[in-house]
This record gives sequence, C-alpha cells and structure tokens, in this order.
Amino acid sequence: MIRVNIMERLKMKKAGSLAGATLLLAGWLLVGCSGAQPMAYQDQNEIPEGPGLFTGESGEVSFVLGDSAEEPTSAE
Amino acid sequence: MRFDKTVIATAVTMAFVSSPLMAAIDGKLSGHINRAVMFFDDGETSQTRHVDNDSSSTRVRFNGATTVDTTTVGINMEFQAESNSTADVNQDRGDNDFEFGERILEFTVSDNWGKISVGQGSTASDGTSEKDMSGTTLVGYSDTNISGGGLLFRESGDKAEVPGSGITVGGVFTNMDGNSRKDRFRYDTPSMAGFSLGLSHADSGDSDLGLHYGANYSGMKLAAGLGYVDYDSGDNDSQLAGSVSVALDGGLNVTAAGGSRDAKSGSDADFGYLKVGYRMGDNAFSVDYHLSDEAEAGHEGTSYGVQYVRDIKAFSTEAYAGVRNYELKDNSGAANYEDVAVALIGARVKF
Repeated sequence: MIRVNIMERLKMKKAGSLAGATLLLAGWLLVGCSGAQPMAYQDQNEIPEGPGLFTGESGEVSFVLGDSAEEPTSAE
Repeated sequence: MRFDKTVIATAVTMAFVSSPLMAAIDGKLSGHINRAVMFFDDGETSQTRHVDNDSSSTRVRFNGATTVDTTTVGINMEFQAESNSTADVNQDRGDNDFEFGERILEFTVSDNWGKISVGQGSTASDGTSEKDMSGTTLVGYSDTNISGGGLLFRESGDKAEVPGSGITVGGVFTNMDGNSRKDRFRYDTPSMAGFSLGLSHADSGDSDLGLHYGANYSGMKLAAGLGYVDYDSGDNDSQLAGSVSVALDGGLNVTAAGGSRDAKSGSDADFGYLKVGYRMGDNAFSVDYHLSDEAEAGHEGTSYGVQYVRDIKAFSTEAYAGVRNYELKDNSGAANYEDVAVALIGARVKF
C-alpha cells in the first residue's frame, strides 16, 4: 500500500510539473502575440552595463585594432 | 586543461589582432570585483568569513568583434578569480581556496540567419531558470545555494567542528538551470517578437533546447525562459525547467521558477521557487522561498531569505545585504538536521 502511495505521489508530481510547464508555455505564447515591444533581457549577475570606476561612462576600456580602410602592404 | 584553453584562445586573439587583411576590430575590456563578509550558524558553531560572492563572481572580460557587410565575427573571453567562493566555503577554515577559471572562451558568427557560438560558454538552456528582474539577484535568486553552497548540514547531536553528515547546501538545493556553461556548439535563431530559440550540443554528449522571451508591455516588463536538457552523460536522463519574471513600472515585481529532472535510476528531482520584490529608485528589496526535493537522494530542502541591494551609481558600486535560512528534511525520518543560517554583506564594484 505504501509503495502504491509513493508511486501515485511521484506520478502526480510529474503530472503537476508537466501541467505547469504547459501553462507556462501557453501563457508565454499568449502574451507573445499581444503586440508587446521586444526587450533584451539583461542578466543582473553578469558584468553590469553602465559606468565603471576607472573606465568612465562606457564602463569598458575600448580600443580599435586595425583599419578597415587600410590596404594590405605588398612585399617590395 | 584550463591552461591549454587559455593558450589556444590567446593564440586565436593574437591571430585576429595581427592580420593585416582584416577589417577593424572593436575591442572591449571590462570586469568587476564582488566581495562580502559572510556570517553563518549551523546550529552548533558559527563563523565570520571573508568571501567572493558566487552569485556574480569576481571576473574580467575581453570582447572583440568585426563586421563586414551583414556578418559579424566576434570573440569572447571571460575568466573568474574567486578566493573563498561562497559556493565552496564550509565549516573547515583550513579549506580556503583560490580558483582562477574559465567562464567563456568562444568565437561567434552572426548574421540575418541567427548566431552560432563555438567554444566554452553558455549552452542554449543556460539562464532559463534564472530570469529575474527584482534587482536583488546579487544576494539571492533561484539558485539559492550560491549564498552558502559549501556549508555542511549538521545532524542533531553532532558536536564536531566540521559536521559529519557529508550533505552540503549545494547538494540539496538546485534550480536546474539548463545545462550551464560547457564546451559546446550552439545555434540561436534571430529574435522574433521577443522570442528566441537556441539549441546546443556539449562535449559531454548532452543536447539541450532553450526558449527565451523578453518584452516591454504598457506598465510592465516580462522575461521568461524554458529549457530542456537531454543528458547523455552522468546519472540524469532529462530535465525540463523554466522561469518567469514580471516587473511592474510601479516597482513591484514577482519571479517564479520550477522544474523537474528525470534520473536514469533512483529518484527524480523537482524544485519550485517564488520571489516577491519591490524597487524604489536605487533600492531593491525582496523575499523568496525555495523548495528542492530529491536533488540529494532521500531528502527535501526548503530555504527562505530576505534581500536588499542599493545601487550607488557615483561609485559604480552595488552594495547588498541578505539573510537566508536552509532547512533539510530526511524523507525517511531517520535523521534530523539543524538549520543553516547565512548572512551576507558586501558590494560589487565595476571597474
């Protein structure tokens, strides 16, 4: 009897998880079709955007390497 | 292994830099330091420790990219340097460690057809359980074990300095966040109405799918993720998990996450997570609750916490404080465990 109860509990948990995922997906698709403006999600635990203590407003040390207008030099 | 990857990545970078035929590369260097004072009590002993906060470990990043017509080729290198990570610190003070490790070592190619990423980095499902717009993730989010993952639970009556249970907070609590970062090949579709779908294959043989969504609505923002992993290696068979976070313009925000993992043998694991928060100017507050069942076989863990983060823009710093309690229950009732309480006070300084 105990074994049956455990199996039933496990099945219910699986069904619950599946139902939850289906609801999540359905709700997600619903809101996705309602004309909202796309937003780029920023993970707050990544290096944050914005100014840095030493890097100024950009928050990054920026540099450009190479030159798009530069022609390859030919061997003399 | 890490050294080899570093050498290869550096060689690739230098090859980019030294080529006279290439277009201009925009390079960027950035990073932050995230340190905290940690206080914990395991029911018998308490300690004050000085740690690196694993929610957003101390790290440095180099990005470079160049675009020709519609095609962009980029490289991303990111390393973390953690001395006494909150994920590893335990009751044994002699167990201090320093770890310099890879986070991202990849090149990417993107165009109208989407983006491919090759190398060490996030798999397609990474981050699907961690959508969170509360503003307090530095000190608490669905991966609750980051605050004290290395700490050992103590069985009632165990008086040893280092508990003998062998069960850690990190082993009990999971948020099933996709397939994490791996050596992988990944493809992502272009974003369509806020949706993007990714798939990846990892060196371990695991394959995964990740659906990501982010959108602005009138009066609110919404982010969501859903990830599926088909494991080839290890003890697990598959995993389905996701998260949703809603932030109202007025400051109130709600985040929920949940998932299930099927094991090849033994018990399957589940988790659920709920957070309610409020943002007011540069201040963010939240409370959360986490239930994690069978991540540690035969055990169920519950955790709840309070978080506060203040953004100090003048110093590119976010200061934070949080308190969290972890509870462990033996599903068979054979053992009783003391709660573990952790408090963190620290700051992340972007340089």
